[in-house]
Amino acid sequence: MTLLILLYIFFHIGGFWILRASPSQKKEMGLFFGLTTLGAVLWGSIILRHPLDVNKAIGWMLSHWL
Amino acid sequence: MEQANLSGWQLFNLTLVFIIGTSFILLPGSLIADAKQYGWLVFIWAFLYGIILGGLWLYLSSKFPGLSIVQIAVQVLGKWAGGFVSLLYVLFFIQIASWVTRNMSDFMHINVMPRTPLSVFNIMILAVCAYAVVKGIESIAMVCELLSLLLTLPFWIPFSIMIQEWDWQNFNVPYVFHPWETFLNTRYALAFPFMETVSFMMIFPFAGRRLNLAFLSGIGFAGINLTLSILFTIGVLGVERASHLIYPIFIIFREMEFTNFIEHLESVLSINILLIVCIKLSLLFYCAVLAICQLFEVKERGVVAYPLIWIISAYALFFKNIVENVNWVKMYLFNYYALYAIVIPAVLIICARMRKKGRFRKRETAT
Repeated sequence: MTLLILLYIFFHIGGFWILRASPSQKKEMGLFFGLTTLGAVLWGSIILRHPLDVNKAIGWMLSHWL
Repeated sequence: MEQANLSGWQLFNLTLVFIIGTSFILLPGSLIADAKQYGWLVFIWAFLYGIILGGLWLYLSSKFPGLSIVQIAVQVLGKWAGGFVSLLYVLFFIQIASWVTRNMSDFMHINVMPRTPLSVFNIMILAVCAYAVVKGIESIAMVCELLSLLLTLPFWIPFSIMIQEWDWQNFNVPYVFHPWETFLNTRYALAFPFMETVSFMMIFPFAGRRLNLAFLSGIGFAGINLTLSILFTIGVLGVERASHLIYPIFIIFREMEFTNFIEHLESVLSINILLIVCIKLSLLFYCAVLAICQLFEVKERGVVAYPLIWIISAYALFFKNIVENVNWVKMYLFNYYALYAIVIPAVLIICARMRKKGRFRKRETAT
């Protein structure tokens, strides 16, 4: 988990460093932050052995609604 | 949006590689298990269905030239409903990319490098694909064009050599063929790989001349290739053995022996699979990135592509094992893909027609 958090922080530092050099807008920075955070949450759920399993959720929805 | 132009030949190759992608390693085993010696027949029906669906998407695309499915949804359904549909497509592209990544890492883990964790394969291949996505669709298409011959020949030459092992008795398995029941049980073959090709609606705007011919013939040629490979697998390995293997084509290559000189060609097949899957994954990754960029009006693809590695690599690990993956595909895949490949495009066509009629009536009443 510590490794994941460190990787997440370094990825952000690197990403924002590169984005700062290019004429990017706030929207792009927000998208970068949002997507990385979503990915980190998914990874965190796998590491904690409580995966936010979208496949299971879709399967459940299809078998209940159809 | 990227200023790219794809030739008909490039689109044909992309369609071919996209459809053959992971299906030629995963599909034969399941299809032979469910349809026995008639597996190849089921696949003919599947690829004809794929061609009809391709016609539907091309029709929708021809009504909105130069627009991708995400842009069409926003134009037809408005900002909010269209935005929601676009988000669904983003999720769809990410999901297929994740499943393709998982198929590749499972294959490498089971057959080639059993001690390497799945996540290592996932992250490495996704990093390469993200780079390809940032470089653009033309780069992906050129790589595909360059490799298509290299991918086809090392596959079909050993396969043709193995024809000496062909046994017609393999087709005499006691099995009563009930067409409708069999087609219903094997409907996942319609979804995987043919309904996935709805992703090409993101790429149609880049295709120049002969779009229809290139796309439909790509589906047809890939269908013939896959039908032949299923037929060969039945003829060479037999129904009983092929239906109990996850990767029957890989086993054919492993057991192949030609004049005691050429043998164990599975390494050639592994490289082939890695390259084909890499192209398919790059294409799906590109569709996901392009859809996000178009939806949020972002110009830099790198801003979206690299963070997506986090999401796709995590999503790819949700299936506990390959059995869970195969079961999910058999139970839910067709119904799930129907939403994206049939329902939404059909709704968009109907809504576009209604809007057109509404405008026409308004004009008539105004004059």
